[in-house]
Amino acid sequence: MAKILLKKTKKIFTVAISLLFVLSIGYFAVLPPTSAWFYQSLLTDNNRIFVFGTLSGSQTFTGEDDLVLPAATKLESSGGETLFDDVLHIVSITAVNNNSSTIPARVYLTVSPTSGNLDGLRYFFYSADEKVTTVKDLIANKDIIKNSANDTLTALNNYNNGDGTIGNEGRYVLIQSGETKILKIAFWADYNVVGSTLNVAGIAQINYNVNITLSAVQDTDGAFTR
Amino acid sequence: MKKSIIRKPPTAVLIAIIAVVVAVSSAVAWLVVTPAVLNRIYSLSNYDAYANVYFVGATHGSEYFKNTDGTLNIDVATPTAENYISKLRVDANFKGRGSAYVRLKVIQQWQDSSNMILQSNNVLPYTIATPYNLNMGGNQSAWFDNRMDDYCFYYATKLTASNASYSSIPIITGIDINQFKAMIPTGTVTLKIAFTLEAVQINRYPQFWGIDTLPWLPAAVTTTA
Repeated sequence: MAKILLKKTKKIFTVAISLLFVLSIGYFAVLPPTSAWFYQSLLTDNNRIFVFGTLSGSQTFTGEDDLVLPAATKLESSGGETLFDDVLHIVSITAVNNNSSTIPARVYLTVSPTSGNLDGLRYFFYSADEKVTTVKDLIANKDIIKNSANDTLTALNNYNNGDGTIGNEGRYVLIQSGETKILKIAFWADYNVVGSTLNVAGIAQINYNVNITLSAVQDTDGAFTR
Repeated sequence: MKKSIIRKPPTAVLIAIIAVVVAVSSAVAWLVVTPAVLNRIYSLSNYDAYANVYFVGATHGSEYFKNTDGTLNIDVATPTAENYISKLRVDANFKGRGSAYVRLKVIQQWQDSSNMILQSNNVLPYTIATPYNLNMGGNQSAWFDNRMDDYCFYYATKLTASNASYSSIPIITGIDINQFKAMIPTGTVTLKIAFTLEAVQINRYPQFWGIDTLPWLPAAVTTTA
């Protein structure tokens, strides 16, 4: 009698475990591609270090900076803006891939409004090791600067965010395991958008509340989606 | 004949596999990526600047001595006069959220008793609050005298201000009266002076001021092979 009961229990237990096994496998199968492995990120605002690849630590940021853009400017080639770099505000972030394996990572940038809108705020994402004389030269080397403002903006958006097709999420910086790179984001205000607001008697001020988000993902197209 | 027995994997092994799977699954769930975020508030504004011109100890403001063409009548003979030249003061007032270069344009005109304009290229020997140090060079929080080229004093660095209220920097704080007396044209003459403070965003001075380089900085050297 006890033997029969044990056999039945074993059978039920085996079925239950098999079911659990299938469910577990299914769980992995439906995970998104980026779940092949994960990064935990750590960004400290005080010294602007973005560490990822570790399994410890948690995201932190401290407060918010209130920064002044020196002036508005134009990026397109028509209009003859020769002192473009003089009015940039450049954010520098040290990115560290301290993954213990040899896995490289892509770092993508997303700029979004915390509140309100970012009409007229432009940015360009690059790595400090890209040797250039000026940021404008580097932008020009990426074939972004066109004759018209609209074409220039389209090219800039494609560079930063991709063209909307799958696997093309725009500019990323590749960081090898154990490598440290300085990421740079140059911000400016587009005179074509803000000029009419500012060109008035008295003082007119424009504010942009900005979230700068860095995401580290595996070095594979499709691993990051906007 | 010996009967072969197909042995099922022991339950303990299955349990171990499941335990590993469950453990890994929970670890994956735990290590969800958290993007790193920085918050920033960027702002920019236009700029407002004007020259605050006044006479020390005067009852009247400078408007009282202003002509319809914007020039000021300056007394050059009577030290007790409200608008006597040595009492003249000029401050740069500005506000705005951003950066700007400013310059003070100074125009002067001597006239004789019949209102004929007299030729005089002399720059007046004003006492400057913070004169530019030529030996030091570079950007300085000081006024660079470029009047021999374009009648202007330039503040030799970027100005930053606030929107809340006007900031003020003194420019002209007096005059070397002996030098000045030596350059007064002969006869009965009057002096008219006009001041204009100009501010320009730091990337647009070539377009608005018509200069390629800032006067206090060395011009870019172009070499040919």
